[in-house]
Amino acid sequence: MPSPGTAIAGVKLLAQGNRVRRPQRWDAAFGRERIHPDWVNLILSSQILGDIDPADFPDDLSLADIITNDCAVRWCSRGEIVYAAGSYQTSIFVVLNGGVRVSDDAAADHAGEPTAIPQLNAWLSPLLKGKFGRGESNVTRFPTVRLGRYEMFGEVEALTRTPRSNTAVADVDRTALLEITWPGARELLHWSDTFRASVEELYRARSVEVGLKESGLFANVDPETLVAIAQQCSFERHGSFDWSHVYQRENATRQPSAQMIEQEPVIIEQGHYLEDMFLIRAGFARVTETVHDNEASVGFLESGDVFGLAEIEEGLIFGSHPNAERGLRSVGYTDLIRIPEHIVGKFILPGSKRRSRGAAPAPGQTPHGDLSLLDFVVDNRFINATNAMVIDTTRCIGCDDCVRACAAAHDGIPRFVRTGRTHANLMVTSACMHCTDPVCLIDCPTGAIHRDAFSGSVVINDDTCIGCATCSSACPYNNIQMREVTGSDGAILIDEDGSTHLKATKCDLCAGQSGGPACQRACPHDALTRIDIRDIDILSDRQSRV
Amino acid sequence: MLTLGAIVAVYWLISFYGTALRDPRFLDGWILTAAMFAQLLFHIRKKLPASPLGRAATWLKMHIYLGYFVIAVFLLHTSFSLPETTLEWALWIMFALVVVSGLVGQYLTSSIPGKLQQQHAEQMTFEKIPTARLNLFREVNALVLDTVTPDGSSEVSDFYVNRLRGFFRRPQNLRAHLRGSRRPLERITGEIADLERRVNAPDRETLSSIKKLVTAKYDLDHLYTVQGLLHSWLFVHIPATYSLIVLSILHVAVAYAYSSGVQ
Repeated sequence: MPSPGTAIAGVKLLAQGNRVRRPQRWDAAFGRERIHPDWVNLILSSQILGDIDPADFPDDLSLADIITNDCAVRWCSRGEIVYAAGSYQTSIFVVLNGGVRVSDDAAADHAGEPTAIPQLNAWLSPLLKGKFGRGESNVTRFPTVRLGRYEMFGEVEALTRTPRSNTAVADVDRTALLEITWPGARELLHWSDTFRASVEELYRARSVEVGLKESGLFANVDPETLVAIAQQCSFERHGSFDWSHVYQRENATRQPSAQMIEQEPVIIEQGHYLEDMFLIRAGFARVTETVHDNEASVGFLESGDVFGLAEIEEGLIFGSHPNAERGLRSVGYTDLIRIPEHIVGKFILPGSKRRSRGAAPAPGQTPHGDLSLLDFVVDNRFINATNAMVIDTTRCIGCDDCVRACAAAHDGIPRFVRTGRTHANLMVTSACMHCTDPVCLIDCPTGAIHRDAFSGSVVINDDTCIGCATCSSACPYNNIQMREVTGSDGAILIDEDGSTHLKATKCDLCAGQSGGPACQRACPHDALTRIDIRDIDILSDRQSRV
Repeated sequence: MLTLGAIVAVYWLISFYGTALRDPRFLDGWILTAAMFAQLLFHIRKKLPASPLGRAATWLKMHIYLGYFVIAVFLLHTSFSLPETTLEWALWIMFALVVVSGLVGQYLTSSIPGKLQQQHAEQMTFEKIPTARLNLFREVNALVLDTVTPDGSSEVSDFYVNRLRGFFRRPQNLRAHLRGSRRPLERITGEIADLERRVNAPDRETLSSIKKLVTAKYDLDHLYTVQGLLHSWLFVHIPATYSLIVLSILHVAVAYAYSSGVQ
């Protein structure tokens, strides 16, 4: 794969001397071919995208242009997998013709079917596309929900930047789907109020049902009852999807932990009446405890965690009103599902051994041991990191083998800087952390920065990166750099307007190379590791390692 | 344990080989040569940092254990005695240099980073130290310039020119840093304290700021010295290793020139 620092095929073709035409959005269409104008006219003249009004869009970003360039029409045969559960794919789909079955993978998981391993499922999806006689079984093997003409699906994962929670399979031959890529969907959501309202409505409705299924809390409940339960639960959002800019502002002033906590939106305060249990659907929340008027972190919650289960259990046993033993605040943004007390009592508590992570720990215990480490991780939003580069400074001798390895793996230009925030002996370096919620890819105009469909790591397609630096300025951790592109003669390429030709560059976990990240393999003193910081115990072990 | 097992096995093999009326030094000599060349593999791994040849940390462990094995085989090969010829002396000294620098390196790399972590709140890479030093130099210059009177002098600036300018310009007191001593810092801060008694209030404030910068510079020099030490042992270890390899090849050639190994 070409990368900044070397000649890039697409750019080289445009070069005249060292001058190049700055690549523009839509130089490369999303599909292999742009959508045929007949399809565009059909989409514009029908109710395929709801009551969307072309007049809402500016002249230089017309609805027709968005559909032409950021959408594709996919034809599927019966049984062909549109996307597989566990895969990272952020398009929104609308059925144009035929139908789609969306599998109830939660049910499949509990039945012990192969989809219990979502990654494997994702890997196998190309093989399952109607080949090897598996197409028919894809349609029939799991309980499914059928979606028909003009129905939309896939919006939950597109909005939350999470892996697919279910598998979508074409129900009949010659099923036609309109695939709206994330850049296209973002524009539609931005410019059209009606489109945004309809997607939000779908998201809220489906998010509750999907969230309840995925949580495993209702594993023994039949689908009809679950639908009834979902209707009694409610969806809430705290904070904002676009949290990175707020965080960057706060971060610039390096506020102390207590001050940062104060600024975070309150979900529930300690001691307040807890009428519902909270199931975290997306984002993160900080669990706090107030002692002598000082509110401090004692834990954090992420997708799938619950808050208030122990309190509600205690309330039901003693017939008292449950009060929150701890406080809960939104870190960035938090989507949660409120599950009413009576549903918790009737469906969750019987036989449940699950303990709420927000509940008080046993006497003498703290939820995560070192609370200052917890503050460090939450205050710096490192809880977002699935693959952070952490260096043990009591082992690192500064030999720079990691930097050299990174450079060797990326055409001589390292993709990280061996410096960063430090807590005790742990340094979280300035390398892409491959976030759970990668806000860097929200506003990319071309979708060049995206998640690898299988691994979920955040990667940049150099061929479609136009060097706009949107991702670089959106990254809350400043881990994306803009670098000059050089031609085959080594000279820096210049745009037509005389400015340096730039491309975004960042750690790609040495994608496409065997053996995993070169930095980790090259460290002779075992000082550098790639860590999923969400599992704070691993970090804690690393801190106390002798 | 594996290293110890290997040493015992080689010892047994050499004893067994000797009963066959062959010179066991040819066998342990070849084992030694092979092991020394195997030691070079770690160096090759380091030269190929992005290669999928396993973790460098595992390679380093193997390098260290094999190093202990090499020492044991060397002692067996030399029969725990000192050399006789000039070539043997050159070999012996070079081997000692490689071993001692390696052991010192192992000690330094395992002990220094932890100590630095305890002694310095802020960690800094070796390459950034000169920039930090320059920043301190500029900062102290600016402070001193503010105290200069229209006639071009002040007690603070005179003291700075005579006593501190050299201190801030380049790394100082390297030997004291190696010993872990803070005596030079105490001496300078003591002199500043003396001067504080003789100057007016604004200059006293400036001297107080300079004192903080002196401490920061002293700590920076400590970081520079110790981090430099972390890298410097390699300047002995690697050249000595290559010299040893060349001398070993020469030694093999000479050994076969005078004997076939049959007793």
